[in-house]
Amino acid sequence: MKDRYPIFNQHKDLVYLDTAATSQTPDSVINALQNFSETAVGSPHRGLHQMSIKATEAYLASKLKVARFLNVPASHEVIYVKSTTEGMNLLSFSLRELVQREHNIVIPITSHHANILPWQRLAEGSGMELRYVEGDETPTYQHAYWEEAVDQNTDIVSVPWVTNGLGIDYCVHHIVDLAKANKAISIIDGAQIVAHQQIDLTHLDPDFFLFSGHKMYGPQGIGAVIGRRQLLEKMSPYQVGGDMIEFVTKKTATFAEIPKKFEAGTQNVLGAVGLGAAIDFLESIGMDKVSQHEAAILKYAFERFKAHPHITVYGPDSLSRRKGLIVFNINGVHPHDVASLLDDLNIAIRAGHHCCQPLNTYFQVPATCRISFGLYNSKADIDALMDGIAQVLEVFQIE
Amino acid sequence: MNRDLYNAVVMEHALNRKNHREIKNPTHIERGFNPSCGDDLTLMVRIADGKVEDAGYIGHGCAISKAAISIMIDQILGRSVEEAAEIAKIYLAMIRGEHPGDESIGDLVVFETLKNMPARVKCGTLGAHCVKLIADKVNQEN
Repeated sequence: MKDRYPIFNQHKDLVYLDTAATSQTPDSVINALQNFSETAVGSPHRGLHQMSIKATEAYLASKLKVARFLNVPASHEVIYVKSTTEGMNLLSFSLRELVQREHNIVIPITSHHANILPWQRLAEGSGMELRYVEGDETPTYQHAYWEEAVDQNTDIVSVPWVTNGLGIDYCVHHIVDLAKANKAISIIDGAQIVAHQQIDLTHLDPDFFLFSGHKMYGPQGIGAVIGRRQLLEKMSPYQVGGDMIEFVTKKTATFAEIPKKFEAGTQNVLGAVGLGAAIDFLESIGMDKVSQHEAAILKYAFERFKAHPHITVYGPDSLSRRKGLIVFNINGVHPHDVASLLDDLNIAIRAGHHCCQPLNTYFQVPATCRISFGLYNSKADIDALMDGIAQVLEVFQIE
Repeated sequence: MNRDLYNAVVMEHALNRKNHREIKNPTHIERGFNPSCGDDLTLMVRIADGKVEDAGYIGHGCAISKAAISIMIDQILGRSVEEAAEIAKIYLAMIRGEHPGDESIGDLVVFETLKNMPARVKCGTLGAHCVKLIADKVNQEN
């Protein structure tokens, strides 16, 4: 599969283990971006000339691909944003009129800052409680903790399907059902799942589902909020300006229908085209094959790590609750030293807090290392990593 | 190569945690925090008659941040506050690529390669920033 990614022609020895941060781009996506740039650039929705019409068609075609890929139900609408982070900011802003003072928002302690800070701001501005699902040593994925946290006063439950800072697969169906039973709005951060297994939003039926294109082999700067139309209609727009209006006078404005109400300004059509091409790419392989490929590498790496005397692995012991990544530390070596030394060997890993400082505080470790997998990875990459880790241990004189 | 930075001098300071201790009766304490990786080091110094009489650091961080603050402590011990501030100034300029590393900063020259390692600059300069802040405070006090 590596031969589909031109980056590995430029960097032949690159072992890329940071897909959870951003994925590499396959040839077909690069071609689609170039082809669009050469044939169809125009401002979508408002021009009357050919180029504008082509851009509008490309933009809408991309959304249809998203809807098909995720089996988006007819009750929901696809809104494009620049990233999952922007999507969370949109929701926390635009839902503020639909929540009640002294009610609560429930998120897990394992959340990315993008699933914390927007809710901190909403809680602060609206007098709500921001409630964390914590749990015991292996936090939060046991359903009992969620049942404890969510109650009749919960207005919002927002959960990553897979946590970027730990690799827990929350298997979110139960959480969506729990939110529904308590009449809370359910929000699924799908950034770390969407490129890794088949998603069926008709079956899951959350109120909102978010993801980013650049973690699924598409370009950076495009993502989506898929939302229940019934709620979107009651929400006020996040940004105002061009292309999202119905009628504007000197002092007032009425807004366009959804999804345009939430898409102010010229949209990222090139990004949308790239996202559509990334979906074509994933579908041409088949999501079952994608899942199998990554599960095999995860298992291989997990077993190598667990058997290693100097590696501490964080997160669940059960592989069935893990997806796509492993968070770990080499005992006695700071993650930044590990990452710098592996970088010499062209092995790219993530080191730091992974935008999960409350999780690090919870575990009382200031930083960790993370490896995450994509279609271009193989067991040989894990072998190279293990050799690299041996060299790190040598530098730190650990036997 | 990043590995060049992990040389014998740096590793000796990092592994043996040289100068990692609380000093008695510190006159100035400055905490340096690097939010991207969690380096959290606190420099403690005792200044008497305008000189750095004792210094040590506490906290945790990567090998680079610990070695850099430790070697910085070796360099400023016994020096006047002005001299310490000058060492920190030259060191920071060296890492920005504006000043060649020379004997005026002693073993700190081993960090010159940081000018080519943007991802690690914050680690290597945590201690120098603490020295600079303490010197600024001393100047304000006088």
